[in-house]
Amino acid sequence: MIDFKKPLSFALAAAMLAGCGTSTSAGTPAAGTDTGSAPAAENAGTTDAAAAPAASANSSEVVVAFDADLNTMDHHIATDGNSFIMQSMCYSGLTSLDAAGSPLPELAKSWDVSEDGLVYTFHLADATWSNGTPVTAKDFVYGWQRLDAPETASEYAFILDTIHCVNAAEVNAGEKPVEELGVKAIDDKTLEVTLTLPCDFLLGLMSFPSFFPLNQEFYEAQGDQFALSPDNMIYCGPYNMTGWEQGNSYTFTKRADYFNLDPEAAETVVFRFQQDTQSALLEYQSGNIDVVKLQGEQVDQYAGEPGFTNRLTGYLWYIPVNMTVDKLQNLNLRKAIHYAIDRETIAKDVLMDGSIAAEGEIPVALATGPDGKDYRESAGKITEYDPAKAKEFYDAAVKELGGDVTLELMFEDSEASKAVAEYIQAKLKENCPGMEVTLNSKPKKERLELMKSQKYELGLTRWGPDYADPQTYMDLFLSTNVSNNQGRYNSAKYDELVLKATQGEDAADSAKRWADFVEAEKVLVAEDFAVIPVYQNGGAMMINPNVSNINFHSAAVDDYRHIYKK
Amino acid sequence: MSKYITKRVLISLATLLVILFVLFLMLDKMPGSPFNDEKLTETQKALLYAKYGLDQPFFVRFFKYLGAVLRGDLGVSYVLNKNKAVSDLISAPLLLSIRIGARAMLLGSVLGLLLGIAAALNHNTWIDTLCSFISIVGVSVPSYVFALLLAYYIGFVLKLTPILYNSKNVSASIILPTIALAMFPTANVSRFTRSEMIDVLNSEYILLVEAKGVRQTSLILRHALRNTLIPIITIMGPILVNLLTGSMVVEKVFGIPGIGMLMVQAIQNNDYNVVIACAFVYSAMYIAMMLIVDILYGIIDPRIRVAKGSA
Amino acid sequence: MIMSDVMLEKHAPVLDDDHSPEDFVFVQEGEKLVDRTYKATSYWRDVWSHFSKNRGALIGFVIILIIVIMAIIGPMISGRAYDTIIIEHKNLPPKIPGIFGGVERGIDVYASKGVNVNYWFGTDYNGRDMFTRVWQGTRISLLVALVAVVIDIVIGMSYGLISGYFGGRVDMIMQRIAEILNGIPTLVVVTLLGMVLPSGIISIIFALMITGWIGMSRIARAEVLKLKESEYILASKTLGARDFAIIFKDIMPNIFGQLVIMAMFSIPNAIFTEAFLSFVGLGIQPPEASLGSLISDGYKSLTIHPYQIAFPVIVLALLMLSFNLFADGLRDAFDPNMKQM
Repeated sequence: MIDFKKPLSFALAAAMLAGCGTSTSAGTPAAGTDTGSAPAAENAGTTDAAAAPAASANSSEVVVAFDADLNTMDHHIATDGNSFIMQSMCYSGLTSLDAAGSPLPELAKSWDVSEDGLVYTFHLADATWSNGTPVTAKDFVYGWQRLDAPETASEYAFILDTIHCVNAAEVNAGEKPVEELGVKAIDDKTLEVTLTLPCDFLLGLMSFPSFFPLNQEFYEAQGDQFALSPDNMIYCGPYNMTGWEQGNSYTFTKRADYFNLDPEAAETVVFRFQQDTQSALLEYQSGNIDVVKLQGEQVDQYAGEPGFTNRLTGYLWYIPVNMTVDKLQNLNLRKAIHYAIDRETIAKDVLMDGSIAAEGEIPVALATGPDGKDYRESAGKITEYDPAKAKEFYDAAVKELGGDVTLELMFEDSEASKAVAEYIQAKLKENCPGMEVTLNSKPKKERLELMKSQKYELGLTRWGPDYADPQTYMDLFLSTNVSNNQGRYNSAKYDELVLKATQGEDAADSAKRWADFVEAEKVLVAEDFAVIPVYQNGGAMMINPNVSNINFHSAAVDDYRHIYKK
Repeated sequence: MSKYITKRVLISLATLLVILFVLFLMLDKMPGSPFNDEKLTETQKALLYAKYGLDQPFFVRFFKYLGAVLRGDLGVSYVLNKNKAVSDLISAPLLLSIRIGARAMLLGSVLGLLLGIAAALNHNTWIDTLCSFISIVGVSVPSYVFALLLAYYIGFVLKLTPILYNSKNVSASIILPTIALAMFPTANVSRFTRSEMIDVLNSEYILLVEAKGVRQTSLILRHALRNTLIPIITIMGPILVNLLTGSMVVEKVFGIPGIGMLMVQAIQNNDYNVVIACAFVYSAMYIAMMLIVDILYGIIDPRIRVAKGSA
Repeated sequence: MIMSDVMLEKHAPVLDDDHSPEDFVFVQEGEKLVDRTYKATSYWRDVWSHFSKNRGALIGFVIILIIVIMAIIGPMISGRAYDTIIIEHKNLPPKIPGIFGGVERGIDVYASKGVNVNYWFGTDYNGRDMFTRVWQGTRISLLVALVAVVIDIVIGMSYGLISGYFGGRVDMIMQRIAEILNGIPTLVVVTLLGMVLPSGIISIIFALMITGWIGMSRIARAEVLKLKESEYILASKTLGARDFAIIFKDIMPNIFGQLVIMAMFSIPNAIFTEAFLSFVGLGIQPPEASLGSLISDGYKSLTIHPYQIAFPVIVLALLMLSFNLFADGLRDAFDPNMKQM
């Protein structure tokens, strides 16, 4: 057994030792001793700055990493943010938004609004689809009709009703034919939209993908294959989609024949789907990715590095208290919960991703009032952290309820939600001595289902605005809103205020409307304590310092159409 | 033999049918639905259910689905890639996963065999201890930890390979996932090879061969190894199953658009048709593998057939 | 080796009766082979002597013992609760004077944050003591291990025994059921179950219950098939023993040893399954911890705070390693001819 085994076993031993070396030095790197893993970790810190600028191998290509996948390129059935972003690359709407979120002309070169604010007339620019046919008013009419048709079953059909488009609800319910929808093509280049009530935010909303046009002839030729691959799409936006690898990458190439061409924008934009943010960050540091989202501890680690960007999103996380649960009908208990939660610490120390403490149910930087001030500025801060009050109200609640309370907090199984829920649990226990809080983690869809059917007590949920107006939040808590009023909050006073502002006597008066919203929010959050706002989501990211011109919008789709790389 | 094979194939098909039913039932009872979003209203939900026929009774849906499956139609995706035919959606990921899995299997088997033989030939020496230690570590460290360590040290610090999957450079970007996945088969095959080899080397017929004066190399390769290899076929089944499991997490770490990741995503999103298709593909592969292993075993070792017959 | 002992035991009386020691001239006087064999052959002592000679098994056993003790006393000796959140103390590296300096990337985090208590294993993202959490998590993993063994033995063995003993149609049906359960990859079953059941320790146990026992039942069945044709079973039957009495009184004791060994091998598997479930977010509910959930949490910041994953991984790996070694040793001791599965 001699001549044969030795070289083999040596080779093996060597291979194994090498293997072992990696796994042990890394399994323990940890240890955190003064020497230990420090070199490797330090390496990560320093190479980052050096590696990122070196990334510009091909400056006309920008690679953006997303942690959620593309779900569909059909803009009438899309529901998720990333699909909307990619659709906005290759389709355009009547308007687009500037960096500040104000509407700019895009496919509509100009528009007129009737005096009563009920009729909008858009004059279209000379744009073409990527197959050469002109974009006409008919394409818009066809697109909107498809969005609203019950057969399409679009989850975003409600948005036509939100802008008060004539007959939107009736068409969607199948009571009227699509032809009666309040959108008409006067001629090839003139589009007329009629509303039942004025809508302050209509122009901005025209940049939202659900309102994008659709070419009837092309769509019908594709049958059930429409928008399932780049071959089954034509585009009216600044980019063509040229690569679609499900679960991996989506490529967009600039269209030379786009009428409103941005000469500076990158030639190619690639969206990479990478669920694991750590590997995505490693790729960023290696220079293969230009834009990447940061999560959890990464934020702490990279804050201050060149390229670190903090943005505020419009997502507000809140706890709708389930009012159908007996003990939670006790006002003092709800007050105790409201005062026991330390929102500042949640934003600054638990999340650290640029999130801010919620001052009310309407997020900051969502909407600007008639006085030119941000809504939040007019409404002020109506949430409060006060352990003494929490204890006082809790003691009162215990007396009224005849004993200590056990509550269950439901949340979804994401990293951020988990950390926040654990912190809230600890704070409730600490500030309301005697209270028991259990946690219940569920996958997101299941959590929504349970919350929508009132099978919860406290639940951490979020809402992203569909348009830049407080109404997008206010509508949620109407007693008639069976889908979104998860806690079944039912207040005549609140309903009256909100309905007066959105459909009633104040709807046409911007200033009164605003005052009604401020008042209604106070009733909801600081009188009835039916909703406990927690935080407004931030988004920390690393962006290659050579890359610029990404417009982040808190109440609209993020815009990568002008992305530019030195 | 052919009768036995026919019988086994028929039983396997029946099993698959039952599995399909069980999967369908499980998804039906699963809380949540593919259509659930903060924004979705009850009316819209009803419209969507009607559109996809989800409002029909359970058995109607099941038999419709079954009929469609027999025609090769696996339905469409509800969430992940809306309205795309599931059969189109899963084919590319499946091929990619099989490609990586097959390589990992090959690498693991070869490495495991070498390790196991080295250990057996050097029974009770430091080499044996080292090999045993490595194989035990191999089954003891979770594959995702190993995968991330590889990504960090080989991909990032040493920059030897790409970290993430890149469709433009597939062969290079599947190196790390292959190694990460090969860890478990290596460990298992080496443990098994070692114990089998030790048994074989201690058996009378090897003594006989040795006594005949056959050369060492030939003794190991022609006599000992051959008889070691046969029983190893039996552990291929469990190893394959583990590869399927491991692929889910490893694909997540390296961003590989494979079937494992597709299934995890589909489960998270309640994308019924995709979940069923993926799970079904897993089951079918598993059952097919088991069948092949059994049949192979029967062909190689006639004793098995006799035992089967009596049992 | 064990064979020779058994043979000696069997043949000893014959030796004693027919021959006197004087017949054997070559035996050295001090050896007294026969006597020694007589007094030393209790089955368990035999097992122990083999087991204690196996260094790996012994080491495995000792490590398991240490881990069990730490799981019991660990959460108490730190003086901190596993769920106390001190957000100001988040992400502190380990500090044990003389061993770990509480330094990360060259910075003394304790000094820079003004913390003057020591966390032996550091703290997590919410400022909870990792030392307490690791041992608390070990408790859960050990509990899962224990449950796995019990399930394996109770369900797997009974199923296999019944299926094998009755044979025929019963066997056919029971084997098909097992095959179907086995045909759906464990992972699929477990993941789907995780969605159907409320997440938590009960679900994990239930998931293990559904899939864990199949391997065991196969072995039990194979053993029964071998034994049921033997004479003593026939004798028992002739004497009118009921079927279940035969299965559980006559057959089971004879195969119990092997099945226990098999069950030991299922422990690492069970711990792994729990860890996987936690990794995909279907494990136990926070703020409870298991080794799996700690690894899953630590994994998210592996490149930033590697110590958060290191300790649970080390404990998990040691646990798996020692159970594997222990089971190996046990098998050698009980039944050296049994093949590694």
